[in-house]
Amino acid sequence: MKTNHIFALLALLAGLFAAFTSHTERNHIYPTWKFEKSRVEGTKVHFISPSHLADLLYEKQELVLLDARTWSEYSNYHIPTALHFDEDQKLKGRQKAGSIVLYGVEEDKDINALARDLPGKVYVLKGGMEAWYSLVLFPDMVEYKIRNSDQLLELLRRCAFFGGQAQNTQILNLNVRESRYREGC
Amino acid sequence: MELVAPLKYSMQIPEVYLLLFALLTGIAFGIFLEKAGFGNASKLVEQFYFTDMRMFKVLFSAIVTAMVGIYWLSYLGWLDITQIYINGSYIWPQVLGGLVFGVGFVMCGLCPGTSCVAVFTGKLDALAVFAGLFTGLILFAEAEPHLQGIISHSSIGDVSLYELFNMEYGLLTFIIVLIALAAFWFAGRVEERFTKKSA
Repeated sequence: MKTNHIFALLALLAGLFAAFTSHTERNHIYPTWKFEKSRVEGTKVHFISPSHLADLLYEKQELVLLDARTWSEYSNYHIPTALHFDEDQKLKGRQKAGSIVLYGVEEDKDINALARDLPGKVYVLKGGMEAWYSLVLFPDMVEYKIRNSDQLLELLRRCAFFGGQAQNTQILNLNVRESRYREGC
Repeated sequence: MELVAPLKYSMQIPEVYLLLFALLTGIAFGIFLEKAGFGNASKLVEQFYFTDMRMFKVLFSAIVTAMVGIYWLSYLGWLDITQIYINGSYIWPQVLGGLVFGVGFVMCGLCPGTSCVAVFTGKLDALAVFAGLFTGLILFAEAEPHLQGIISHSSIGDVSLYELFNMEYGLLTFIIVLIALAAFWFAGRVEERFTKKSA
């Protein structure tokens, strides 16, 4: 066996074993995904991640947001531009261009059924309002690793845009100058 | 000047040792490039005639080694992957830059790294490449602040492939290893064919 064949075999084995480990979750890489399709109790549900929804709203993308929580919860706080679902039943009939994002509280399982009944492309906010609070409004820097200062600034700006504040930012040790580095060959 | 690598964060090493480490890595890189014959333009340019695919094989195996290495080091918790600096992706500027780079590479037979090696082994053609390289660098550095709008227009941020494809990092590593192995095999066949033709 030639040396390069041995190296090829080693690389193949290292790659193969890597494929069976769940690294992304273990390392809290942020953000990991934007949309996700998964089966909940046998039916397909389209989810949107809170950070991606925040990015879309921040970029002023046209979205119809529906809040499926109670009226008191809705009037206490809701995601900007969101409409209360019960109060705006008429929306059910009139389909606007663009996607619908439905959200409620995390443990509300009926929301998936509700999403199925609505016409058009409907996304459910993954993790509900709890995830919105912990990932967008008050992201905790202990849990989320930020890769560089560009990403941190973007996150803080987005946070402020929605009226929230990042938690535990003092633990970050980022070099602002790093964004000026360029790599060569 | 600080190291871009995450060593600075994961280990408490004084700045001066980090710089020394960078210097030694640079010297080793140069020695290996020269030993592999990459300080010679006529050797490198054979790549584009498909008679010697050494450059392609070396660079692709470096990518695979780094990828598998980073994966396992971070999996074992020895390296914080989130601290690795990733260059942002600017689609159109990078397509244009790639074309300019490619044309320059074919014309001179040297890329920026190999031209440094060639200059220090006394090759005159490399000196011309070096002069061109620095002229380009200075021009770009001067023009960049005025071109920010155009440059950042097609920016997609500092995304990695596994984020772009919404895929597990490990699975992506495996796919890249498979692609590399297939590419090495294919490059070997191409080499055989074109060497026979030219002989």
